[in-house]
Amino acid sequence: MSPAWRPTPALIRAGLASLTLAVIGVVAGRPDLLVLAAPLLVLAAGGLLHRPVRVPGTDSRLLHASLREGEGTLVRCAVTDAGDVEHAVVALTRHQHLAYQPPYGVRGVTAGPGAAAVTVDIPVSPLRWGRRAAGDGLVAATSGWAGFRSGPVELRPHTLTTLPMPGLFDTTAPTPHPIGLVGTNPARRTGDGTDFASIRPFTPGDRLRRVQWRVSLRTGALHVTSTHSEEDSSILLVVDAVADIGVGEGVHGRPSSLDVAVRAAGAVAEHYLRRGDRVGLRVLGTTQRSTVSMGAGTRHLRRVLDTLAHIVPGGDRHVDPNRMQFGLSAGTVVIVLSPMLSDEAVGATLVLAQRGLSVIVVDTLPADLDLGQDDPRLRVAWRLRSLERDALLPKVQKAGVPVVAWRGPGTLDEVLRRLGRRASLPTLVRR
Amino acid sequence: MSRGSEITSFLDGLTRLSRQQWTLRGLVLVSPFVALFATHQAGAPWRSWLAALLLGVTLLSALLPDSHAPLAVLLLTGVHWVLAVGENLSGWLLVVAISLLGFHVACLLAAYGPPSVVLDPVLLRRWSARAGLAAAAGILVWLAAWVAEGLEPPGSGWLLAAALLVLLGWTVLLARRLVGAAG
Repeated sequence: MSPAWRPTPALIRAGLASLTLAVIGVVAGRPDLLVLAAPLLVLAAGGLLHRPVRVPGTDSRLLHASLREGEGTLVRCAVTDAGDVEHAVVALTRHQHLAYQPPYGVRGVTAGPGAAAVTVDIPVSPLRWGRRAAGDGLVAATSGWAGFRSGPVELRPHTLTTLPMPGLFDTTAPTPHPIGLVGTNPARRTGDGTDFASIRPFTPGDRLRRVQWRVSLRTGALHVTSTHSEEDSSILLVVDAVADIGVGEGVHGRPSSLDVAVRAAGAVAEHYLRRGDRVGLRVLGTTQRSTVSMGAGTRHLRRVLDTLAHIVPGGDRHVDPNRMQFGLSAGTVVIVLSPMLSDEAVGATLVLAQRGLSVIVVDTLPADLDLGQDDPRLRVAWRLRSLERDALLPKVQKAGVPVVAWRGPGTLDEVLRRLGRRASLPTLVRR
Repeated sequence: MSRGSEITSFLDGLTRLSRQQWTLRGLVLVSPFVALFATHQAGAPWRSWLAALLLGVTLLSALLPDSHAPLAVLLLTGVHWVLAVGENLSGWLLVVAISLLGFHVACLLAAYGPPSVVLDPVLLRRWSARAGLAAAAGILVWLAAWVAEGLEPPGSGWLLAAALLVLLGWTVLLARRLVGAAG
């Protein structure tokens, strides 16, 4: 859209006031009124002399359409065909969880002489994961001597995808059921690897570098060191988006339960995918893309993070865990990231545990939960909900599912080791 | 947008005033009263109702610099000078002229964008030069009026006709440019 130039109130003011005073001055023979009129007359004449002819166009874009939380990019707004433009101002619409520089997203730029285009850059930074509109607002251009103005024109919004912040997560514990071909997790069978398994008599096909010379000399027969083979494992992340508890204040503020879940899921996925394992994702309670099948590699990590960024909490409350098809192979480790406040999440957890899978629940309810308003009724309701949760958690633990609170690096170490020990024991499962 | 949300949005905008905008709007508030004081010093009697009226319109101008309220301030001050002060070429006349110029330029700069806009130094330097030029024009006319008053030229119908012709040309030019562009 290219709006026409219109005279500014300043030009009308200077023109009319100077004209009125000058007419009265001349008619009444009052030179003092000409003194009052002269400065305004000069400014009005300046505005009229710089009357613009070419109608400017506008264009805006986001330099990066996808960012991590807290990262920044630029909203670049260009006023094109700007030969008659002296000053352009852009005022971006304020959105929740978007920070601008300057803080209110308003920036003016003075054009150089004879510039073909005026470019106004406004730095923008998303403070919370998700997809939101950015870069919409208004732009206006003013001609020389502030005589005429074009606009304001609306800038069309762009979609900015914000991936969860690269969270801190690390684990030294191996996954309990490595089932792939190559990887870094010690498997139950022996083969090429680094983890010591046993010293056994030499058999044809053993490599010479594996010969254990000390034992061979002592026993008089050749012995070799055997190692556990190393394999990759499958991790399924189940994110509970049925409800978002608390108020997410963005990357620098207190998190909501879904903030913790999404950032934790991103961090865990990044950790395992960088180790060469396969990771899948299932989101409960969202109408957006909710499933990422098992996969590996950097591009797969991007798919997982992108799906996490698309989560809309509470979009789909009709989740039936008994009818859900997870399509998991044996040995998959399921990590459920949930505040365990919804029946859907608890049901899905129990169904997965009954299928004989190794399930871990990561409790994503923040310790310093912000309920948003200081309403006594809200506090009572939350207290009742907490009591329900206290009743649900033992039910989950009774089904053999460990529940751990998310605390970043080392969160899963202890439970993974315990699951590893338990994996070697016979178990009774429902098929 | 409803009237209520418009007012809320307007008040919200005022809370985001930049320091530069505070300065400009402060100048908008002060300069008409400097002109009123100078008019009083030049011989106009003090009228409280006029001061109150001027205060109201000036406040409106400070709140809405991009409206036509500042035009009312200019006309009110100018008409007050016309009616209350006779032909007076004292230094107070220059004070009134410069005050009105300052008021106009402050309103103009405050209206360049939303309340939170900060104008860059390049634009402020340009406007300093323009305001200086306009002030110089006022001083030149003032000096010319002084000289003309000293010479005491006889009344000339031709001179009056020429002045009126120039004003007519200015009126036609204004009308064509303003009405033409607005249409």
